[in-house]
Amino acid sequence: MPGTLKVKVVSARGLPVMDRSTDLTDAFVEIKLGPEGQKTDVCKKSLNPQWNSEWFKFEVEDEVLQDEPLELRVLDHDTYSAHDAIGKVYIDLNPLLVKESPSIISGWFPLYDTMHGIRGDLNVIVKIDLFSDFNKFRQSSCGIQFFCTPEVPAGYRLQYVHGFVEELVVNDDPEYQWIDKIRTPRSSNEARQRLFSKMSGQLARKIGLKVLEMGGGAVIGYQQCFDLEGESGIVIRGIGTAVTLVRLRDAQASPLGMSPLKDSPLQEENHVPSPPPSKKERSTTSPMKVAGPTNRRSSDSDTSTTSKGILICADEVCWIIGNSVGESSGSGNGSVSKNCPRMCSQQVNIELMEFPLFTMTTFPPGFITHLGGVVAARSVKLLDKIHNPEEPETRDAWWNEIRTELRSHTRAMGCHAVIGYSEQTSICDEIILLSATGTAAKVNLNLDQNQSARQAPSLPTGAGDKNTFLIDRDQNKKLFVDVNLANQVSQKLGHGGSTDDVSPRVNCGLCHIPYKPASSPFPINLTQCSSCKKRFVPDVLFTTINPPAEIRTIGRGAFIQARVCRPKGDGKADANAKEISDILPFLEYELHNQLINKLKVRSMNGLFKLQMQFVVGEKMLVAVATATGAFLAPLPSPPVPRLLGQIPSEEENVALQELQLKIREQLQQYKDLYQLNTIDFANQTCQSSVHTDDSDDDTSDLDFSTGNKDTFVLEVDDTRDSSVKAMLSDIPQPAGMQVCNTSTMPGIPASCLVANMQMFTQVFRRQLDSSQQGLPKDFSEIFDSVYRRLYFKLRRMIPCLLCGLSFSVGAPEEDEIEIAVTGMCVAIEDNNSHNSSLTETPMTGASSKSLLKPASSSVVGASGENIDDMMFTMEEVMEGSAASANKGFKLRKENVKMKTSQVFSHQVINSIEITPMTYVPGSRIERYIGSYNFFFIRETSSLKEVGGVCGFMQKFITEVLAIVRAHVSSLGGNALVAYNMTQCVLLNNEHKNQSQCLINVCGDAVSATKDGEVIALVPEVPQPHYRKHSDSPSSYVT
Amino acid sequence: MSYVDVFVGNYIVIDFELYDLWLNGLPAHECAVTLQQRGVLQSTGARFDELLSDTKDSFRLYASLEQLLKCPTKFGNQSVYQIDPETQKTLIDKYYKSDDVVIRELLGRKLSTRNRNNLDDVSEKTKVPLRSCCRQFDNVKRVFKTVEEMPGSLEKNIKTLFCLSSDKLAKKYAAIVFMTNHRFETTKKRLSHLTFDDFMYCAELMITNWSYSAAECDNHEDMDVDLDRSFLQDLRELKILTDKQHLDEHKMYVMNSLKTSLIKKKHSSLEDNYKATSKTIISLAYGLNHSKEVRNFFSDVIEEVIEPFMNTGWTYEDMKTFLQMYKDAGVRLSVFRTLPSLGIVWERYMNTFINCCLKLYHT
Repeated sequence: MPGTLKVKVVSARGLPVMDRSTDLTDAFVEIKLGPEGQKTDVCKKSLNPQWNSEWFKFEVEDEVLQDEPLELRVLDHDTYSAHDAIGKVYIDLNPLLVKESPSIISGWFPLYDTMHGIRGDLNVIVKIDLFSDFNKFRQSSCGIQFFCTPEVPAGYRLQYVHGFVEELVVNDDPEYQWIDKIRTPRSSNEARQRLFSKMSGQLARKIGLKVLEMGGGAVIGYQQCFDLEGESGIVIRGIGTAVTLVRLRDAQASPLGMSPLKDSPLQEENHVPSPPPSKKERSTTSPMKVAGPTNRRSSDSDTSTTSKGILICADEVCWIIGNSVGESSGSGNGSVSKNCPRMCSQQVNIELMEFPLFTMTTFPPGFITHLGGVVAARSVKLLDKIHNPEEPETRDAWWNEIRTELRSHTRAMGCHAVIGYSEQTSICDEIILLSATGTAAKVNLNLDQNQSARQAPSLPTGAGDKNTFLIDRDQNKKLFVDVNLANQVSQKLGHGGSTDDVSPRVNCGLCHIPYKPASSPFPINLTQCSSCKKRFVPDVLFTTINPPAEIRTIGRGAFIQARVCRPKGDGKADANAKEISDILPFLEYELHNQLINKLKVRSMNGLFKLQMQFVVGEKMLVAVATATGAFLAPLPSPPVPRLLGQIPSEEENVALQELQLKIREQLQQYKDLYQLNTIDFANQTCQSSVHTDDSDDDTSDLDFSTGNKDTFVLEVDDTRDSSVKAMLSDIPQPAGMQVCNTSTMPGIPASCLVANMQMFTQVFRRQLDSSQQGLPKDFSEIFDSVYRRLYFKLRRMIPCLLCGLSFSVGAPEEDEIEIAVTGMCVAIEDNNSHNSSLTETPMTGASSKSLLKPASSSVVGASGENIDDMMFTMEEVMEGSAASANKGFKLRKENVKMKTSQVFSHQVINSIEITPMTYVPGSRIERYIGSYNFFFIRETSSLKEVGGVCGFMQKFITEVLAIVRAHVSSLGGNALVAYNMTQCVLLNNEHKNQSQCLINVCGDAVSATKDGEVIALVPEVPQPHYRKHSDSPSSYVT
Repeated sequence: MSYVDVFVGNYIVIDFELYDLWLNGLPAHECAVTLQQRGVLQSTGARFDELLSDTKDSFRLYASLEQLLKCPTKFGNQSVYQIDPETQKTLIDKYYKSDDVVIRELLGRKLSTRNRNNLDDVSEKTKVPLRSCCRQFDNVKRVFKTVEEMPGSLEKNIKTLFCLSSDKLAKKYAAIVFMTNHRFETTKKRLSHLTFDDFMYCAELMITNWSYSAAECDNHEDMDVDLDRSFLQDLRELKILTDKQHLDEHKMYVMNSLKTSLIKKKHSSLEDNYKATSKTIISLAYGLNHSKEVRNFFSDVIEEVIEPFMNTGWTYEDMKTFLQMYKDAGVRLSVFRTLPSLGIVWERYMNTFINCCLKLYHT
């Protein structure tokens, strides 16, 4: 699809004074796309020039449109010397290339200069005319939609999941080229910014091609990362999940006639992992490797990797089974093939996909059938050993190696997919630490299939495993009701964004172990599921995904963070890499221990959205794990932590007693805080009925008497043990403030989230006492400070929920730690009446439903039938809940709207929301306009004058947000969801009065309507509303 | 020590308690101490460290917002800060809010850099922090420079150009600009008892009645920073009243009508001083043509009109009756019958003059 790009430069405002003698500016604009450039006339002597230019036309290939951003540069005309740069605007043209999206970009764009920041705004209109081109060999992938949103976008239905897509692009870093020595900082920064922008375009195009090849139409959960490798170049990596989406609005959307079967399973699988050119060959001994045969390598072998290099596996075992330790063994091999459900193979066959990796974190109901636990793989590599740094092969091989490792862990767990998958790097000089994390799971890819089965209800009977699954679900249903009647506990309520037409149902099957207890690959404590009493569940369940709607949780969620910092020597190259890989398992173990302890002291048994970050510093290694804990109803209630220690003296004994007392107090406090006082009761019923329901499966093989399940024993050698201290020393959040890193909080219904109040970014950098003793104390002190500041800053927003909290830790200098926190402060409303309703539909899901009233009501009914077909009972519950959701919906909406206006009347009417979540509370996402990826560089050589490094950073982040808002608004949007600050690199040189900072942000621009307008507006009407304002997004003052 | 510590939100949220302290010009640390003393920390359980960090953070924000505050119309053309209109309004209003005591000191001063550097004494005298005095000085100067040469209503200009939401504030600045423009002398010792409110009242009256925006003026095009030139021309005509014949006629009317309302002693003292008083009032009128005399208007009024009466123990009420009679009697003069236009000028002058006089008549 080659096309004609048309650009009109209308005017500028608020330009800086460039001519001291007149206090005015003679401005003109250069418009560039790729190598081609044009320019406007000079508008003499004005700070608010009006050009009203004719349409500048660029006739280009779509490859260029995808790769190159449109570059507008405002300059001050100078007759005698070189023109002075005022500022630049980069416009990503990709949103114009998608059919459904707007065909025009128009609005005020801040003029950004890497040395001076924002200097005025430029008003531009950009249009595009595309011609169709059916050339088979084209290099472009126009029309593939990218969503940063790690779930099915609101307003869409997931039709097919094609699998994992990845790509990486390598280039030289302009900062490290010889020319950088002679050019100005400005041109160097601009060259870099342009390159980043171009690479990111290329990357997306290449991924798009892969998606096309797979027969998909969109990428969701798209993650893009920059690795600034220094001398060896810049790497941009992109991963995502290729899917086919159907717009829900057009009910007659015919299924795209693309069968994923005819395509090769996975692009990724085709790569033959070439042996990495890396250095050391050793398998690491992890401290967890106490029991079990350690022939992990053998289990790897059939995935055809020769695992070289230093591969550190996060012992996946640890992540799921809590205090029992073990090592995955080859025995997993057998169970996998047995346990892999044979999905009805007409459409998608999970086996063909060979352990797919899904980057989504929230899934449509029914997608996940079992959750295994967190799997992770890490590897330390040396950048200076890359043979030809300009080529991506080496890095490709690295990542393949890691992914293969991860897949083998997954298989050992009896799972066949990885969900909530993400990748990360940490670079320090020539060392690069690569990590991949995800949750091993069994999934059901044939969601759509289930629905089409309605029309043709001849379900293949051979799908044995599927049948058991259904039975499973069925019994859960029964139990779900029982539990609810009996316990009267508040129910775990919907998550954001499930737009699937099946209303979320509680299903304890997700928590059941995905392998047979007898063939469990490692020693593990198993209990019977407290919900169905049929299957086995682990003691604790760690996941990297948002809480699925099917898992019932009790009480509220808790923000849990574990962090470890270890000093390391400052060895060089090989020695350094060796040391790091030696320390890694210990870090991992300690991190895990902390998580477990913190979880136990909160009486919880599950972790969601576990995000781990490992950072290599010059003299230390840092690991931070962040998650949201919850009490999962199917899992056994956690034992009370009890201290145990060798007591050498009476004093110590007293101290120990005191500590025990403290833990007890803390335990009770937390129980109150997270509303978990009902659990003990639940637990008792559970315990008593353990052996009664022991009917199916070969469960009797398992020995329940091993291990004491009533107490969780903490061994302490020393009463000043840091692990115990860490467990107790979390900074309590102020009353009325809830914190989580998931997109919704377990235990707080989505309807209680009234409105977004503030999206915040906090950057905190501090020096550490790098001595052996001082380090841990200083380290935790830093985090405490961050929390305290956050809580204090947001104290006026109470009652509120801080959600989507994301930590990014860095070790920029030898003895420095930098923490960047982003998150969203959402107003909550304590509404007890919500406890009574069983089914809470999440905001986005609910709203999309209301949108599609005719279409969706039929679907809801149909899903009820579906259940009828497959289950024996329970249709009342289903229909009842669905109906109540539908009926109660409008009422609740109105309710919410009214309260919103009361509480938040102060918010700007034309404001642009930026949120790390996938939804906007109190609003409904109307359409997705395009995903955006911004890369900014800002430098100053007059640090003192701009208010020091703090002033510099504050200004820069403010400007970044402003530019993001302007771009969203120019597309006719009013919010950016799934916002993520993927990179924030600050280089500071106070002695030279210089500072440089790089920030990369991304997200999905959307147009959302306030719930108030839902009732007023007919959904079919297009939204001219926001368009109108887009020209003057901030004209608050007349 | 931490050296990067910033917090940035998508919306600009202002803690106005802190903002007020910033406007007062307190340095961040002192400000945090003040807040601590007010018990901010008790309710939140935070430590001083967080309070200080928050304060510094906010102060940096305010400092960068100050660029916009100096020219508030820019708020409409900027996209850097996402501020809701309500907050924006409060920000501006508070920024331009001034202390009457400080303004009183600034009145009559030349708005020069030299004077700005000498604000220490103002600060000392008014007990307002120096930084705040400087801000107020700068505000006055900025407003003055902006509207000085601008046609149209002074108040309206100020209100729109500085996005002020309250009329009162705009009026205040209008009065200040007016007074500064005419460089009214206000610093003399005998004027020291007058407050800013007194001057503002008079200036406002002058703007509404004597300037180009007055109802009597046909030419509204011009600036109301200046007095209506044709009115000033007309005022010269009033000189005729100082002619003996008219003076006596006027005196007769006044004395007669005051016979009942004034006690004898006061009546006779007026009898003695009438000529001088009347001459002063009229010379003040035609003196308005000379900028030097305009400048001394207030001190002249005090010295030549108010003080003599004060010294003879006249009350405010006495003064009011006298001036009212003086004006009314004037209208009945034969001169005005022959020159009706003069009557309008007389009324226009006297109404404002009386009100000013009475306002300044502190007993």
